[in-house]
This record gives sequence, C-alpha cells and structure tokens, in this order.
Amino acid sequence: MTADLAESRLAERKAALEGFLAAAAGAEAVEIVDARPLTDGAIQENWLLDLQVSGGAQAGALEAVLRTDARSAVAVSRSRAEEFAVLSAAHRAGVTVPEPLWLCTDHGVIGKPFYVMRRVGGTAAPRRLMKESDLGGDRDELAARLGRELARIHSIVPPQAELAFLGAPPDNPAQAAIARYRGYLDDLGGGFLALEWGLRWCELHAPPPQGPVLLHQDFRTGNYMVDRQGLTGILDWEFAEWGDPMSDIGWFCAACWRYAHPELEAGGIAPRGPFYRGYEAESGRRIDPEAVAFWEIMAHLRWAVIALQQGERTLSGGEDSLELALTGRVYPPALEVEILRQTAPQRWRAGS
Amino acid sequence: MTDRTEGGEPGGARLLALARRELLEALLPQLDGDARYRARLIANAMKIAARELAGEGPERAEIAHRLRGLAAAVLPGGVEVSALNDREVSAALCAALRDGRLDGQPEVHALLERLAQARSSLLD
Repeated sequence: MTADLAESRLAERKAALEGFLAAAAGAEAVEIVDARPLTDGAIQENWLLDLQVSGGAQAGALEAVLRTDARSAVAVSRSRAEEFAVLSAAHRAGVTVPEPLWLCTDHGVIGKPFYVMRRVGGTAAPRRLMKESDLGGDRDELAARLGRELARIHSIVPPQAELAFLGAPPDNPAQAAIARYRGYLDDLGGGFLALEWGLRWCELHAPPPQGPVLLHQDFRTGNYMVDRQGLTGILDWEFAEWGDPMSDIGWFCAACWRYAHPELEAGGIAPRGPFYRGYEAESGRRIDPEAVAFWEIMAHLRWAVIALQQGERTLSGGEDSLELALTGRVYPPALEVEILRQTAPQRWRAGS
Repeated sequence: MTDRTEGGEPGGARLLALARRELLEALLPQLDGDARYRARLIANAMKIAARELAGEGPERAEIAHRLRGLAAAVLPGGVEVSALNDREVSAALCAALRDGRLDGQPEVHALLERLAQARSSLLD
C-alpha cells in the first residue's frame, strides 16, 4: 500500500471495498495491492487500483479505475450510477471505452456510490498530444477512428429502458439548449452581452434538428486516451444526453478545443476530412458543414457558460479553488471574441 | 508596474509584482509535476490581480460610455439612462439583445467586439 492509500479515506474502507469487489467479481477474494489517486477531475474523483483477484472469471492481476464523486458534485453532471449505465450502453454498442465492471450504490462501502472499470493504457493529456506528434499513431487514422467511434455512440437511439433516466429527448435540442443557457446566465446575475448576442444569433439560425441520438456531450481532445498505436478509450460520460448528433461534431471541432493547433480543425489533431469521412462511413449519415458551424458557435457558448458556472462555485458554492476561479475568469473573454467573430452582422440572414 | 512608495512603504501593486517574480524565477524552476502546474496558476492569478489593481484604461471608459448611448435607445419611455448604474445598463442591453431589438446591428457588434477584446487583452 502506498502512502497515498494509507493516508486516504480508502484506507479505512479497504476491507469493505475488498469485500464488495470479491462479491461483485464472483471471486473468493480480492486484494487491493495498491491504490493511487488521479488528481485530474474537478468534478469526479478517480483512483487507480491494482487488484489481485483470487478465483472467478477475473482471476489474476487486474488493473482498474475506481470513479466516485469529488467533494462537490455539479448539478448538471450525471450520478455515478447513471454514468455507469451510459458507459455500459456505449460498451455494448461497440464503442472503445474502459470496460465497465461493477457499480456500487451502497453508501456503506466507501461512503458514497462508485463504480469500477478496467484501466486502459496511454494518456488523455492534450498538452502531450499537441507536443508528441507520434502519440495516438497516425493522426489522420486517429481522427477517422474517432469519427467512427462517435458514429457508434450516435447509433444508440431512444427509447432505451436502461437509459430511462435521460428522460424524453427534446423536440428541438438547439432551442432547448439556448433556453437553458439563458436561464443559467440569468442565475449568474446576467449582463453577459456578447453571450446574449451569440445566443440570439443561434436562436434565429438553428438548422433543422437531426436525431435524437445519444450524445456524449464532452467528446473532445482531452477526453480520449491514446497510446503510441492509437485510441485506447473514450472517457468522461457524465454529460451524456439525447440530442442532435451534429452537436457532438461541433463540440469536437470547435476552435476552443484545438489547443496549440488551431489549423487542425478536428480537435487540434487532424483536418476535418478524415474525421468526417470516418463518421459518415460508419453512420451512413451525411455531415452538413453549415449545421456543424452552427453547433461550433453553440460549443463556444456552452463552454463560456460552464466556465462562468465553475467560477461562480468559488464565489457562492463554498469551494475555494484557484483553478475554478481562474476558469471563470480566463476563458470567457476569448470565447466571446470567437463567438462574435462567427456571428458578425453579415452572417445574420436578411429579415431575421 | 506601479512603483509608488509612501514613506518607504512599497504599494500593493509593487509587492504583488515582486512576489510574482520571486515565484516565477526562484521557486518555479525547483518545482515539477502538479506543484509546477499549481505555481503557474498562482502566477497567472497574480498577473490578473495586478492588472486589475492598475485600473481600467481610457478604452474601457469609452466603451462604457458608448454602451450607455446604446442603452438610451432601447430603454422604455420615461427611463433616463443617466439614472442607471453600469450593471443596469448591461441588463437593459441584454434584454434588448434577447428579444431581438438589436438583431445584427453592426454598431452593436463592433462595440461588443471592442469590449471582448479589451477584456481578453487584460489576460494576455
């Protein structure tokens, strides 16, 4: 056991957790050989678990990840149980994800709900993907693969009994999102002129809705793992929702998620071509560039609203985090510049 | 950098600038991993705070003045823009943007771009 585990909350729960894991795995016993925290999540808490499983289908060494809520959960984020259900649905649909193993909703084990998934190798860090051009394998192939993966996610359509918690899909996802963001801005105290300008443009220029399909809603560079060969897993399913498939494509391609490579319009890793072709080949759906352009503006608006909400958590949410405070302060102005650039007066339809 | 001393007492802006330099030059090189990342966050926060302490330039004042001019045109009859504070001016403009009274207007767009650029450049 490392110092991290010894000093952590997990240490005093070790026996209970081992007991749960043994029962869930149908094993005689499970030993937690090591546990290390991953510090990346502002919303979730992740632990790397090295397990030794005795007996049952998983017998042997098992590298896993335990995912649970961080101290403060965000209202818009799904519960761990719901996330586990979405991850399981994606796994069944053939999406490359860390294999979901066991869900525990009993607060008695580690004090809050959690689930365990098989660990995948590689890294998701955008900084490394931007710097190391050989990471993720051939980048055009990686982009095409991500297009195919996204198409598989979008192959899941309502209704799905095990995803009933997602509710009924909105009739018009774009207008529903615009109304939601306006509500969030009002809750934040209002006065966000550039965002109001952008939202009004979107209200008038939304393309006809497509779908509904299952959306990942945070499908971008930074949320998939790669090693030297290619993709190893798509992560962070906590924002999944029914909606318009073009919205996930716009989020992936939006300028705000291209990091150090704005010229590589598919997530800062490749041109759009391979990504679009992979998506179209797998889904049989044609990508309308104008619809994607609309959803890229929506992506900037959504990220600006989320950044402001994260900043607000440090003001009234009782969470004194410098990282969250800077998120609310640093990102919105540049997003506003981009939103205004993409909604210039000449892009307003006459008569609108 | 504001370098105002009062009887040998360096001002807050100077202390902040010196503290940031100390952090970046003396401490950061000794850090790595998560600690290095956190030190950069701290340095960034200090830079923003220092610029804010230095006050808003004439550009921001002019933008605020022009926003008042725009608001005057969309306020309901009988309400004088001079009676509103900046927050109320913004709220009036937001309401007009939302209900379509300023749709696609080049003058409004140009002003919002200036404002966003000014806000953004504070962070560069």
